[in-house]
Amino acid sequence: MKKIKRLYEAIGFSRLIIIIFLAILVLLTFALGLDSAGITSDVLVRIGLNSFFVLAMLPMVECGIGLNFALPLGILCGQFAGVLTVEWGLTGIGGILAACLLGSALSAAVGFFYGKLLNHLRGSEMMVGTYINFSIVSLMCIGWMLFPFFSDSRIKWAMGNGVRSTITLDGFYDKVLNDFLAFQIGNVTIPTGLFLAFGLGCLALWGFQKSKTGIMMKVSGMNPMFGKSIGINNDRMRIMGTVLSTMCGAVGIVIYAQGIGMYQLYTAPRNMAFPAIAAILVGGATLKRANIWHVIIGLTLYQAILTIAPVVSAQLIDDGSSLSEIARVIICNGVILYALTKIDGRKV
Amino acid sequence: MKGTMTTRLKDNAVTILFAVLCIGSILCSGQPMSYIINETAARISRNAVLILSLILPVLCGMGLNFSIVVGAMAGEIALILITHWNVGGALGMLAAAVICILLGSLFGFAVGKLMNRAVGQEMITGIILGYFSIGLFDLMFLILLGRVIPFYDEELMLANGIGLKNTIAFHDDVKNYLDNIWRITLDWSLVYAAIGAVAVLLILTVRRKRNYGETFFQAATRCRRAAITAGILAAAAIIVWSIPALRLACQGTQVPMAVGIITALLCLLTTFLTRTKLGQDIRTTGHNMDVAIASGINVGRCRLFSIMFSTVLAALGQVIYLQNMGNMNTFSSHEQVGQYAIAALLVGGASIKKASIGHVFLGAALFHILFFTSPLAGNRLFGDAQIGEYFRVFVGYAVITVALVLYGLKQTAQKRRNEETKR
Repeated sequence: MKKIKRLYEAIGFSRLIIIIFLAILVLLTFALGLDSAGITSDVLVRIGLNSFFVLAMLPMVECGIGLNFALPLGILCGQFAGVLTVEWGLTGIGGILAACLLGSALSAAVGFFYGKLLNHLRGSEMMVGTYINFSIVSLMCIGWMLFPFFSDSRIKWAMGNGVRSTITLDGFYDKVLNDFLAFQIGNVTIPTGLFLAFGLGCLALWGFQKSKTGIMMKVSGMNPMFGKSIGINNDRMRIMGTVLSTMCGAVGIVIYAQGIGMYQLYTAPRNMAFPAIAAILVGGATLKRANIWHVIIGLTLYQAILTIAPVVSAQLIDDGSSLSEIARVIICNGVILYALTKIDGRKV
Repeated sequence: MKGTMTTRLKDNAVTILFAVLCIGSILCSGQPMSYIINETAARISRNAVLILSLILPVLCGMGLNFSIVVGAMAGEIALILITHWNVGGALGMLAAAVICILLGSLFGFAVGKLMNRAVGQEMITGIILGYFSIGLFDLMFLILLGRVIPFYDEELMLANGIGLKNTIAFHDDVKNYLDNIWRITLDWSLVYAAIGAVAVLLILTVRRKRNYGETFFQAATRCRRAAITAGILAAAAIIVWSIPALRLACQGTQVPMAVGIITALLCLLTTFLTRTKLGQDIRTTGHNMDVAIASGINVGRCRLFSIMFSTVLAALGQVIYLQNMGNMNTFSSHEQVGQYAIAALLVGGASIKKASIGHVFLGAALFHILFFTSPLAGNRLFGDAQIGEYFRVFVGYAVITVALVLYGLKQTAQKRRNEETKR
């Protein structure tokens, strides 16, 4: 009995629910005789595509700020860089690298200022982050209408103002990473390029955590008073975490866009932070503690559910698409809500 | 004197900026005065109660209540039910109000319990809770209704008998019912409002005079807020009646007096609540929770009550709003309720810690003037209504962001000052 209790505590309530739900879905795919190889390939691709968004939460939690609800700041930088590379006509891996580099440079600058701001707003970072996200995304909507940088007919609307709402990457770097060294096991396609990128990202963050600065950041995040007393500059660590997180967002959107074959501009990035937050929470992270395993486990569970649920629900009832959409909303926000009520604050 | 002037300007920077933006936007949109006044009056009357519902949680120190979305849903359920039962008129509205109060307090209780577990992070919890409850609402009325919940209504539901239609049109005896009970033109309604405010002021003054034995003038100056309200309304009435052009514009504007009276009563109820023992406890909790706990106030109960009251008011507000619109988008009309109401309240000069009824009406007027003129202005300035549309969305979000950041900065500065004085 004690063992079961300890196991339950190790897994946690929200992860347990998600695992049970996923298990039911997997059983249903077999029971309904669905194309399980195809579904597995989809799951793998989606894990790769969303990986950097979830990774972005890690440095932010580590330096003690909490979850990054303003992830779209990085995403917007990445999109801007990506659209510029399309304007310049860069193709293949070179295009992706250029977009990533330019995007990270931009987002490092943006993240620096955002981190500076957050240092003055301790305690309400999540709320302020959410609203900074909303307002910057809607500001960029005006930006996309008025930017003078773009002239290509594939980017601008043929008539009227502004940039198209989706920029297709067909002929530039559409699915380049997905297909890089991809191979098949049975009928399951393994998108090697995506996993290489994800692996590199994990490795880089892991290496950073093991470095002197990384350990200092962790200490400062876990106990700022202690950090201060041993001479760590807490403010600097928080800025560094924010910069890293924003950069991950920029790289993430480039990888995501090459996978789905287009940049979705205007209001599309506004809600991109929530699924990433839900994913890392499903993995077992809390607002105070997260590691790379939480990212990997959470990403796998969350994306598996998101991929399998529509297929299964479409088989079960006739308006399955709306059911899976509703399930997505409820799971994503339910997980975040559960984590918010677990803040070890005061009881009233 | 100069110092207080600067701080006063600084404190009301958002409101002043908005007033300037509104005037600019009105001038750029090139619409006649009568159109502007007409739209503004209509929008204030249908949004006021929704914005009013935010006040109590602010006073209780829970910040801006983003979860009034849940209350709005209760209001929508009430309207769906009376449409289904086919009751309309006064009886239908009463039934809707009763359902609003019942469901609103039930939902509000659940929300309040949740908020009490997330002390210090109420606002972000409210936002996420709003999204979560939208998911639950959709699940209930799109998937389960007709499949699991036994309910059938040919008029309301999709052809296959599962789920509600995307838009629901209310019956003729519900549509605009409250608006049409008693309509008069704006110039006369200003006079009535002024008379009403003076009457309230007189009642308060007489009570004060009897209870405290002050002279009439002393007592009147003591009831400052009522006196100011009465003064503003009387001044507005006099201005409208003395400028012919303005009066002409006001004569073209019909004001729904029933909605106005309900709004006024709810305003009075809110003010009255803040004066009771419970209201004092709520304000103490909002001011300093430690002090409140130390002085034996049941903080959890105060917070619960604030949220419940707010949710019920939001439900009533949504009923008033939707009966004015005449139909509802079943799955999207509640999505932005919290966002718009909160932005309007903040525009009026409220902050995370302070809010009053004056802020509600000033904010409703300024925010909604910008709201309907900015696409028109964008069209005239850039030849593209879309830019104005994006601009107003941006403004709505930016107002809230600025309020949050300013409040955070002020708090940090205060904390630093406290630490320094300790040393």
